[in-house]
Amino acid sequence: MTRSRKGARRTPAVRKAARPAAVRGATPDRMAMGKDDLLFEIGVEELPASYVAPALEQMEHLARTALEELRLSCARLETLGTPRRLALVVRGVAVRQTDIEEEIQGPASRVAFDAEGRPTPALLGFCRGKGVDPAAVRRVKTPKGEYVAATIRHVGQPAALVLPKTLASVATRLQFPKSMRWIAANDTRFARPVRWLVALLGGHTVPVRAFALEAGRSTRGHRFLHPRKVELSTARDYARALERARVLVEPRRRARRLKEQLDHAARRAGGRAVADPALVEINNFLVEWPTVFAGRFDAGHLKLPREVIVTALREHQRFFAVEDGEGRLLPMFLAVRNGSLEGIDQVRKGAEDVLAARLEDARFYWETDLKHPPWDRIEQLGGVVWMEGLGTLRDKATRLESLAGWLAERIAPEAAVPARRAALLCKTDLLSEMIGSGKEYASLEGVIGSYYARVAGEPEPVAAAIAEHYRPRGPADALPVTPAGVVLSLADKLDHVAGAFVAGKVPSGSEDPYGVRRAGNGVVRVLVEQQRHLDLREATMETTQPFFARHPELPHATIVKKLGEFWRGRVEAALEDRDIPYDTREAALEAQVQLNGARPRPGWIDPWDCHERAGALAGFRGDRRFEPLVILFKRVANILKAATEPLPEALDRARLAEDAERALLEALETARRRTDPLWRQRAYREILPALLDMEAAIHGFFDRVLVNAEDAPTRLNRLRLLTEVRALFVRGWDLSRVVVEGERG
Amino acid sequence: MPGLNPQRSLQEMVLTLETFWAERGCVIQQPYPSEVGAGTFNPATFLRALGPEPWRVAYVEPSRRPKDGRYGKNPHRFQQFYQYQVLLKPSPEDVVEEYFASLESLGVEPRAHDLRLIEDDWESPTLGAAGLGWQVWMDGTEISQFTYFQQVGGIEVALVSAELTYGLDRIGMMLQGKNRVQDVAWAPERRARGRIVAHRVTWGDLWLQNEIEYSHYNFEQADTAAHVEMFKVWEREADRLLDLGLVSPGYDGVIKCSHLFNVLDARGAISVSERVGYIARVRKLARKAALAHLKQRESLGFPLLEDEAERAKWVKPAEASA
Repeated sequence: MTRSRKGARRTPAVRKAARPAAVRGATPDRMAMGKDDLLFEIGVEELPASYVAPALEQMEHLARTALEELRLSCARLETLGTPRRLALVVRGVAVRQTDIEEEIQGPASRVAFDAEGRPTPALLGFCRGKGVDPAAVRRVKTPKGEYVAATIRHVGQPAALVLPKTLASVATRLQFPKSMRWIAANDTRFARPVRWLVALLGGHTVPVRAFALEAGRSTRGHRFLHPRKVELSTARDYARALERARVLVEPRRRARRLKEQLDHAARRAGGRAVADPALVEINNFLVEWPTVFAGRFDAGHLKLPREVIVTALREHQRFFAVEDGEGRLLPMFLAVRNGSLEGIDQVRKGAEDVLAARLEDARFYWETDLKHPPWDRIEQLGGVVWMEGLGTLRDKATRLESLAGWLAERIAPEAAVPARRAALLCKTDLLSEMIGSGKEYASLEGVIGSYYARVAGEPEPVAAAIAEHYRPRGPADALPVTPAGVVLSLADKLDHVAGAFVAGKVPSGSEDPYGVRRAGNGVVRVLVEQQRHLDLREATMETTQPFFARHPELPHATIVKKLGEFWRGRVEAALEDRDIPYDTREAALEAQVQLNGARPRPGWIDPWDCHERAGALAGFRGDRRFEPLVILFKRVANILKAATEPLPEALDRARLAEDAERALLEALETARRRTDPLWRQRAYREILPALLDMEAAIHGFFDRVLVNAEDAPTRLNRLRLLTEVRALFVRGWDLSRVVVEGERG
Repeated sequence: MPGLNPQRSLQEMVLTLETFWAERGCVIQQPYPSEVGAGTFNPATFLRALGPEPWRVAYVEPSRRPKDGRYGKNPHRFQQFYQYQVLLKPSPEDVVEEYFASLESLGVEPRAHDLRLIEDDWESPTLGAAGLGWQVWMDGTEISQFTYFQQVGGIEVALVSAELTYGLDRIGMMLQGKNRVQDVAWAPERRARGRIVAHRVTWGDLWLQNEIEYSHYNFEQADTAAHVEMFKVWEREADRLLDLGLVSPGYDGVIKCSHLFNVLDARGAISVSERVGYIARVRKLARKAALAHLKQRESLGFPLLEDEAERAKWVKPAEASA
């Protein structure tokens, strides 16, 4: 279908508000026409559990857009699915497309009509071409003169006629992380082979053709409980008919039943299922007919760390752990079966046997590992390469030890001793059987190390720091909480980032195979959320130093510069995550922070401080003094931007002869005195309005004093004064980055 | 077949599967007489999965994974195990249903078990082969692998095959209710006129000593220098033979290289970085064999293509007339 052509504009009559000019005589009679329910089901061999929900989301989105484009209104659109089927159910779909009217422009009036006002062959030809009655054309005035115009009504097609192609395209456009071919001489891909299609509009089939199949009305029941075709009489019948065939096709209903059964089974066993919504979701998309059953394991395995047991249950078998009222694990599990209770004892025995073998493996790893206290394993770290070209984990341990000391001095002096010890120990669990041999336990690195440290008699702060040092692993993960844990977590990530930049494993675009951005975000999250100050430029110097000492040939300055850009980016991302608008972020990031007379440094260098300043400015935006403050700053900044001459090092106060000059100096000094303690307390919310106290003096200065005076010393001295005014603002914000009303667009 | 009880012994299980798949048009082949890591290495799968010719085959494959040996002590892990391999090309529409029907023929009542298809993106780095499919779980244990080949020898396949690989030992343990493979019956007791004519023979009777000896060999005794040398020799031979268009002997060289590498790996003679290099060398040869095989089949006019029109599509005119 052509969407637009020269001189013509199509607009659905229903979208009156959007383009009222083009709509004449909307057609309520048509809009009230018949409606029916639509069902489209893609029957597929078992999809990976994690694929189902995203595919349903895409399907909903694609279908909604497609129906809109087809001008088929509908009441409600929903998706349903299991590992074996992705379905779209649309309630109240119009059985006919909405009519549209098209405004078309014909030849110029002087060409269309002869001297007597009769239609010329040109007009008649135009009318024939468009199927318009020559009597129905109108004359319209355009900037290019008068033309003839006509309105063509396009009567909507029946939905059954236009749906097949659209539904086929919805199905073939679904994207999966991995897809495959299976049809001979056909490159159509899908996550697994599609075996049937159902498309019904009310009681009629819609002949959708895709995947070398044609849609009909027969779906299939549960693979084993109802291994037959199921004929659907109407779209509306879908969920009920499938339920009779032992398929609960609505994900939410299935999840509800699953949770009820979990609760019930746990209660019967005298405990409760350990909460794990992600595991419920996985199980929900592994089955069409869930049945929960309980199984047991040898209570002797409860000697294993809780995390190991939960992982053994969860990672391969997708079982739920069960705990008592005090949160202690019970020697049992809950499993979800795709079927009924038939043969459940056999199924349970199978599950118990498999789990027993896994727990025995874990027990073997655990007991073997206990023979090697972590402290004895430090030297063995020398056998494990850390990052290509950057030495071994033993080298990393040395760096972490020294970095932990340096960081502790700055953020938690009391944690120095345990943090340094934990730094040496924290990677030794990578040598353990549990992590090295038991692949499914790899996610427990750090956690398992802390258990081994405790058993070996390491002090609790050391063990806790080891457990916490990988945190946070992502934006939703918990932060380290013990002082030594915080220190070590920061040290590990700072070293990781520096090492990656030294080794050239720099993240680019969406690629970040070494998790460098994640590490950087982790650092910023810890600092901001735990309100800790750290100078990231100093930290960069400290972390790169050991690498540079070993590799003098590297371009040190370039690497440090790139690291600076990286950290600025991480701080900015953190501000963005907290919904700070772009211009406010820039104002805070581009500040020249001055602390206790030290050299000014870029605004992003201390992430928490930057966050506080950005937050204060964002909060001040709603204040009526906000705009005058920004305007005031810009007045100062603009004139300085234009000044290119080198300014004197210091202000010559004696040279400030005029009243307005002296008044400005006085206002500046008052503002300095007033804000000085506030800067030290970082009371940014109070500083912003305080800066506005200079308003009258600044405007008075500009109104009464010619800044760019003829006399050079006078001119430069005045600019110097303005520079000092500007500097007081820029300690917190570069307000020239802020966009205020009236400047936009 | 009267008296065949797949729940009683492994050999009856195998005979049942042979019958099941023979009835569905499979050529019943025999194990490949060379050490392979899986049924996929057998040329009846690796080479025949290439090109446009339809092909259905089934066979038992004794598969060797030197690293998995446990001196016969572990109930689940051994350096030689038994796969039942089925390749259906092109993959039929009801292939999943047929697979489950084959389990039923073994006496597995699907409703009374928890049978699952668990996603598995299969990949063989040495063969340059990859596909999508599943592990099949029965009551929590993996009993089979099911793969739709997408790539073989680094070549996108012309016709997608379904490869079904049954773990015979595992399935046997489950059908016979044994917790140790050593106790699984291989052959049942036989009686004639009320007297035992043949005693029951177990997996352990047949293979336990073999497991112990090969574990010693793979982990302690294999001459690593000789293996490194043999790898080089077979790599050279395979390369040379494939250049000559001698596909079968050339591909045998590839299989040998793969096994020699596995032994070296079990022996701990290969470092992490060397490992990648060895795998790449075998993969390169496997690709060469795949290309040589395709070329040869094409020059033969893809003889298993029955349909002339289909053949015309695949055989380049110049070569067809040559």
